[in-house]
Amino acid sequence: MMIFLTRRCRKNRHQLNREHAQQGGALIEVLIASALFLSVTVGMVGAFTHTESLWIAIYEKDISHKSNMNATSEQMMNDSYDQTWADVQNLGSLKPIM
Amino acid sequence: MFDDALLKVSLSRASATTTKLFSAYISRKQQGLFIISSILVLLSIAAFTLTSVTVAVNDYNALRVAMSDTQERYLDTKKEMRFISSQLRTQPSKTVLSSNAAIAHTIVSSDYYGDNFQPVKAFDITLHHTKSDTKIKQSFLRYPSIINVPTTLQATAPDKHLTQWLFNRSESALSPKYFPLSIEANSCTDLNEASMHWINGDCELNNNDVDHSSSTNPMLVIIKNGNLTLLHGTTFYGVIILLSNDGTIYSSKVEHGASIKGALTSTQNITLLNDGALIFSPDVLEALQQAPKLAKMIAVPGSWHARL
Repeated sequence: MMIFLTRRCRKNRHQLNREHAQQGGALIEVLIASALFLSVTVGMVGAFTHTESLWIAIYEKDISHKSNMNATSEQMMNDSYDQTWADVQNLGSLKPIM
Repeated sequence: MFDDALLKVSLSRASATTTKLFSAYISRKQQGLFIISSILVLLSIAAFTLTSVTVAVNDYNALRVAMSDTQERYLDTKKEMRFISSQLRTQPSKTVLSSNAAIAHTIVSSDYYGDNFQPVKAFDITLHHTKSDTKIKQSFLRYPSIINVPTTLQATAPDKHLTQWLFNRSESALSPKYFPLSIEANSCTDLNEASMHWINGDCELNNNDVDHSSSTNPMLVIIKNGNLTLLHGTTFYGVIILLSNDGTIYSSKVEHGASIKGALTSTQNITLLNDGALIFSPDVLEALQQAPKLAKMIAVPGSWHARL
């Protein structure tokens, strides 16, 4: 009888220990999930910041490039001296020199 | 016996409790796994979206860079076209230099003359940007600033429409900007070597001022609202034009031993004091009309052709 009781007590103690161990396992799972969530979130925020800064850089470079191009094109449109096509028409009909 | 039975009942209850606890544990574990899986799925969707956006932005950046390069090369080619055409205004096509080693040029020229035998030269310029395989083509005309030379009558009497005849501009519309490489000053003291001078005010010329002029390299001097004096021993080759818009009758004095070979003209009445020589010279006038420094270059409208 005593042996039986001793075994039962051991078994119960073992089950109680197992219950505690299960609670610890859940805690580790929660910790792993949190770590995973945090790492992915940090990664995503980092990627978002990088993308945003890249986009701003592209936008600013685009604006600067366009303004430079426009300034250069505008400069090329203006002649350094006053002339019109009417001046050429005033020369009369042009004849080729053979 | 009774004790044994009680003990068995107690033990069976403890076992049932343990089983319940185990079942509850399994249930909680499944819930935890479900939550973790859900979080992972959501995170994966977010990560995928973010990665897609990042890739799209990078692709856009690469596209922008490629477009910018193409636009810059196109602009470089246009700049080169302008650079070459500006050189052709004053020099022959064989001596034209290139400012960009990546751009090859071809120039085809042909000669024309106008109704009054004005020299006109047409240029077909083709540029090829080797890096981007951009090819552009444009035609230009080189024509003289002096569209018509002064007539014998204009060299002896004032003509209100003189500037219209010579430059296709009214007197009020004519400005130094009409002439390429013109030099504007308020007096004729120490004139720099140039084909065209615009003087606002009185002008007193001595031989040192005009010693660079000759029958083959004549000058054009326009005096606005001022008197002209040609000092003794001065030989001027070219055209002097007196303009007036303030109602004053200005004077033109040619001292003994001084001469003007070409033409002295005005739009209003002037007081002419001629002790020297006024020689109307069509050859000098023709040389002045053909002077490269007074030539203009204009793009032929509609001649622009680009192949990108």
